[in-house]
Amino acid sequence: MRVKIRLFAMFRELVGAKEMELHLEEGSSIFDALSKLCEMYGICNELFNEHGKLRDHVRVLRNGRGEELRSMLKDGDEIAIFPPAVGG
Amino acid sequence: MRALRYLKAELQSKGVRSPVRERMRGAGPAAGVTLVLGDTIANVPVTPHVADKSPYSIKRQEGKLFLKRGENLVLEVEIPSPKFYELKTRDGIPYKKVALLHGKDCLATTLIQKRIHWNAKRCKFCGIELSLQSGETIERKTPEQLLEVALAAKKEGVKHVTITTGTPPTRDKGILAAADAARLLKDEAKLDIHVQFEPPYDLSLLKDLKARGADTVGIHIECFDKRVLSEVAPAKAEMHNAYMRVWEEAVGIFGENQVSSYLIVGMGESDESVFDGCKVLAELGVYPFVVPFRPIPGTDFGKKMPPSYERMRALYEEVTTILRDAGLSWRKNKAGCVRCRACSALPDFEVGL
Repeated sequence: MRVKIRLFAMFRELVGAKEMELHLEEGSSIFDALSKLCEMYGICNELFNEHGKLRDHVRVLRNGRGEELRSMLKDGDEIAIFPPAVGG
Repeated sequence: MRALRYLKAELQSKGVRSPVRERMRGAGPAAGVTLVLGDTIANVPVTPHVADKSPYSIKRQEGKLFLKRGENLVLEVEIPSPKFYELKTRDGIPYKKVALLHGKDCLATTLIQKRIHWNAKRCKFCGIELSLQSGETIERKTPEQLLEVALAAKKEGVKHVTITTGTPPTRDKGILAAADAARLLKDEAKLDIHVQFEPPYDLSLLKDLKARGADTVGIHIECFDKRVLSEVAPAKAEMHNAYMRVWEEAVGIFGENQVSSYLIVGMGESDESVFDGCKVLAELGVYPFVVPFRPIPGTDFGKKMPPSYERMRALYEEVTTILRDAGLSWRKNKAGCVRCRACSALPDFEVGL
């Protein structure tokens, strides 16, 4: 399935793009999408802490709403990622 | 003389002792005086605990007003004094209780001077209900009253109108009442209209608002530091996620530069949160209206001081680069606080953009 990723502020700068499309396996979660971004762009330290949890205040929205990272994605979903100071 | 943008920013941080003052309470940056400074305009705090420490004062000499720093004359200033304040509506309400002049050409009203969050989760910086309690305004203004005032104000040079909804306990968050007022003002007074509201549950209301005449909207998160926002404006913190969707939707309907959000500096937030917040807003096409915190007597933050001039100047200079990259400018904004620019020096720092 295809998922649209939108990046803001420092994430946009780190990745060098404001949006992109990720190809994920059916049944993938938001966490899986973020993990793939980590692999592709080396932004693990910015997204996750040393325990593998999303950093405090990094904000991830799925289709405009805050959801658990384990939430399953559907084809065509949109994930927006905001920098630490913005979320909470 | 140094550039007026620096003077404006300094005045808004340090305040001024003035023989004239305007409303001391109400929504937005009250407790100030509006000064015409050359080709710009500034609303400057006059609250005694700020202004008494300021090097700036306004002196009247031979019928003119002068801004002085200590004993040194800085420049001649004007304080707008609308004649329509002396009038009353057909139903006997003083125009001044219906709407006020903001800056030099913006008429502003709080349509519903009540906020559902006032008792339990009020914003600590806001005095929206204090002006109602003191009798300076009325609880609800009708579109007809507003039109009467707007027509008189237009004769004195008013070009645009800011309508703040307040927040009634309805799902539309006051947008329907604002839309009714916007339609009448647009049709009959031919003024540009700005409407400010909280994120509504139903985003289709934004299209209705546009269809009825609103040109620009303000959806104000106030602060991007969630910890600070939770302490200072708990109701807004709870709907934090909703702002993103509403900003995006609003930009799609009203266009880039026509949607804005206040960002208040000086409530405990980091500079980083201001920059990141401005970037996010700018990337969405939303104008980040960065303003210095303004203490309003009677509010929880009534005794706090505004942020320093040095901090505001550095922030303004940095944020202008964000505006430039995003193609945003107050000059492209049609109505409301951004176009008025009295409460922020950010538009003045856009020089050269």
